[in-house]
Amino acid sequence: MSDLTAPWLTGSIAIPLAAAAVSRLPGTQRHARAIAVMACAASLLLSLETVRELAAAGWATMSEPWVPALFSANALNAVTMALFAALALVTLISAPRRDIGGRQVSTVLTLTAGALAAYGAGNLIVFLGGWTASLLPVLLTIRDKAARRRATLELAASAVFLAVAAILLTLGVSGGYPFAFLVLAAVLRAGLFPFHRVAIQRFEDGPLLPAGLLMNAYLGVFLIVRFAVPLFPAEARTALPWLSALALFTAIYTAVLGIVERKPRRLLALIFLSQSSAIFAGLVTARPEGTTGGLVQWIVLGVASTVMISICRSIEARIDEPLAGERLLGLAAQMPRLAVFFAVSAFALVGLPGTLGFPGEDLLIHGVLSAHPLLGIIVPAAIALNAYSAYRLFSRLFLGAPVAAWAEAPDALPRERWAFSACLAILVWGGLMPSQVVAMRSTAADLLAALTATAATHGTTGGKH
Amino acid sequence: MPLTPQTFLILAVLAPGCLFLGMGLLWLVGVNPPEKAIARTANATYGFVCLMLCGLVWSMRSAGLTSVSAGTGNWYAVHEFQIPLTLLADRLSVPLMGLTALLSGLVAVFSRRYLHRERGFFRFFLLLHLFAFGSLLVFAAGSVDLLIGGWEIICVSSALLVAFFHERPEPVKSAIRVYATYRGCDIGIMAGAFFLHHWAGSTLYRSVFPGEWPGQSSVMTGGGATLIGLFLLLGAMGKSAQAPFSGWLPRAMEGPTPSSAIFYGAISVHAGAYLMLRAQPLLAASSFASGVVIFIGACSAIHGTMVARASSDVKTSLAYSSISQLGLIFMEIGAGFSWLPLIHITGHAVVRTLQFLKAPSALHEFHGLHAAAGGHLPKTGAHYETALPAGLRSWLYRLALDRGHHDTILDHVVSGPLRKLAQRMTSLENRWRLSPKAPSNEGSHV
Repeated sequence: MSDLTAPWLTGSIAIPLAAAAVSRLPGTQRHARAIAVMACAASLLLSLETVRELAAAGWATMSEPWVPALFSANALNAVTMALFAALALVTLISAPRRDIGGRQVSTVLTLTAGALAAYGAGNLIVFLGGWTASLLPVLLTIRDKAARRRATLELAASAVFLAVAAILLTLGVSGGYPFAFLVLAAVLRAGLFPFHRVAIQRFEDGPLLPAGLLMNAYLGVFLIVRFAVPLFPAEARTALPWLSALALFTAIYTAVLGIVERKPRRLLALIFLSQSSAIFAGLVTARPEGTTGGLVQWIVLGVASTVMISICRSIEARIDEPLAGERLLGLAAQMPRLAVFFAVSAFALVGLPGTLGFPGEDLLIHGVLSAHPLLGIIVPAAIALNAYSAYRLFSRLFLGAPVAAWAEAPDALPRERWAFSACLAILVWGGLMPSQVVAMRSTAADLLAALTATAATHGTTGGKH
Repeated sequence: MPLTPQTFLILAVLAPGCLFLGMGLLWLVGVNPPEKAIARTANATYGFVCLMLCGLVWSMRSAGLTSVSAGTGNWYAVHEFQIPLTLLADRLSVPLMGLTALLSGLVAVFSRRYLHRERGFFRFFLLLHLFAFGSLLVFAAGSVDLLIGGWEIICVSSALLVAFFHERPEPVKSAIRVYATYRGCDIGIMAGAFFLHHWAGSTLYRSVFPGEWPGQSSVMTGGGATLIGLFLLLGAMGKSAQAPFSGWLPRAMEGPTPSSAIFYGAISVHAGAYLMLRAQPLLAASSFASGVVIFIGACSAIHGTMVARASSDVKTSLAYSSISQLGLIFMEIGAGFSWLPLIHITGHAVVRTLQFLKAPSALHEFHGLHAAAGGHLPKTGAHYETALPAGLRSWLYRLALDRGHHDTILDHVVSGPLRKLAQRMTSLENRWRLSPKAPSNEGSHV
């Protein structure tokens, strides 16, 4: 395994972490957004440099030169790190002024650093650190005590399961127990049924922007494909079809819940949970097109959901009240550009041709249907229901008669316009010329298959990790 | 660039798509072109598309070709799973592409005055170009996968145009209904494409339906052909508003008249019939699937004509007349005819576009026609009505007034139970809620 030319991974994780600490210092409040944006931009640049070096080396796994045992980069995590840094950057740029105080910025930056550390982790202990670091700041922002207590309980349980699995592996315990703990942790974190309520509650009760960012980390599914499957190929062969079925059930369950949901925040959570569960199902199919489709949809869901969440939050800030009720808000007249950004993102999420969502959805459906010819029909059905819900949400927010009280509400501000335009450019460019993105993600899918195959051949139980 | 048939084909399909992208980008950077510029660009584009199609036909005839494929390799691929980017021009697709270009251009010319000073003038033309691109893609697609691309573009542009006058709640509700029906039925076409890929190894027409249209054969036979044929039929039924999915079509008339003409009189509703024509080799290999197509077509034809006669407004009457004609087209396809349905589609699309465009002045025209005839013209089909017993006629009238109870049946069988299930699940979820009051943190201080 060769080394990266410089500690890009450590840098991309340390910079947001340092910025999170700086933004809490007294006197930095006024510059919190600038500090955070610069930190995330730097993190993104370093992640992109890692991707460039990996591509130049033929996507072979490379380790960090200073701390090779802690972090490594490969086709799977390098792109994911760059994507997450970009999503954090868009979130921070587009966040309303009221959400960009020192404390909120610190939350987003700590979450970002934690997620990046988890992606780049070379072993389970580091992954556990990133997993916990990404979770804690968001939990602390849920103000309702009862909700926070329950959410903390469920999400802390996932960290405990992960820690137990790591300890068992360190002790050399092989077989089903460590694997079962890893799967439990992943299911809790991914919000698969019956743990989907935690994610919905975060969207409803917590601050929307960190909640969206946390969901976009997909550390649950990352844990499965990065650690659980390669470490325990034999157990995975038995468990993956069940896990896939659970993910499919969650996808359709949350999609069905969405069709009668009236609260925009909950509806957003349900749509994203359903789509992410479909991605989960695709990634664990062990079919190249399913895994690749899942990885492509990962990008689509990340970008599209970030735009949609940011717009919802911007609207809440503009109309000065939380989004609720069944009435049509009629905001398209005042905010036509935000309406277009939202519509394109929502349609991309459910597979609009001409966006990256179309090839992603196509590959995902083929992969899941290949693996489960009968049960797999759930994926197109769930996507159709989500499409209905997403269009309904768009109609609720932007269509209808304009409200006089909001006549002065501004359309997309320049900073929002640039950030959302960049997101749309990614979605549209990826949709018109998807071969590069699909090939890049296909390499990651091949890497996962190779890791699993190698582990199965050697009969390893993951002691080395 | 050499002027080969392939070049003509690619340019014809891409032109409206490029115009859509260009206009979208202009708007995004804050440029709002005047109405005259928008209309002239649209006219020039559809003139260009017509010219390219003429060039295509001329070059094909010169080279003695009956079909032309234009491809740039794989659009995307994952190992053996490949989605080729292949366009196909043959005796089936070229007439329909020509029809799309001609009628889109016609509607663009009509709309310049019809929508003059309308607030959504720019939006209408933007969506018209998107729709034209989607339709050309559907007709020129060389594979089912690419056809789905155009299919979904039509779906989105259609829903957005139905909600064109979105200040009123009714168009918004109707657009949601239209979109839901489209997306629900699209599950069929997606499943059909998957099984075609799974069993035949490809969705390319040239691979799965070898030969030249209309004498193609199918590599799929037996149960596979039946299953795929039925899945594709589900998709086609949604798009062509065949019974029992016909309820969305009158609701779609909430959009501006020019869009009703091009979508629901001319091009969009015929996309389903086109899909069935394209999949005709599959139907030929499965008598059961053919029988189902004929049955659906017959039900739709009878349903459409009955409701059209009982409708009190002109656009609803025209919508159900379209459904009736489409039912006949489906029957022709199921019976194995090829040229007849193609001619029927072309003729119906042209006549219906004219009728829809004239719909706002229908009363004036009606009175003028009767005055010119020197009295009241006899009602067509009245001799069939008199042949029926009075009781049955009353029953049929009530049935027609409620549009065959199709929406009610769908609500009772599909959306109602689904909604009820969702409500039960939601109430169960609420019992498990993590917090009983669930206030929004941000909401409290925004």
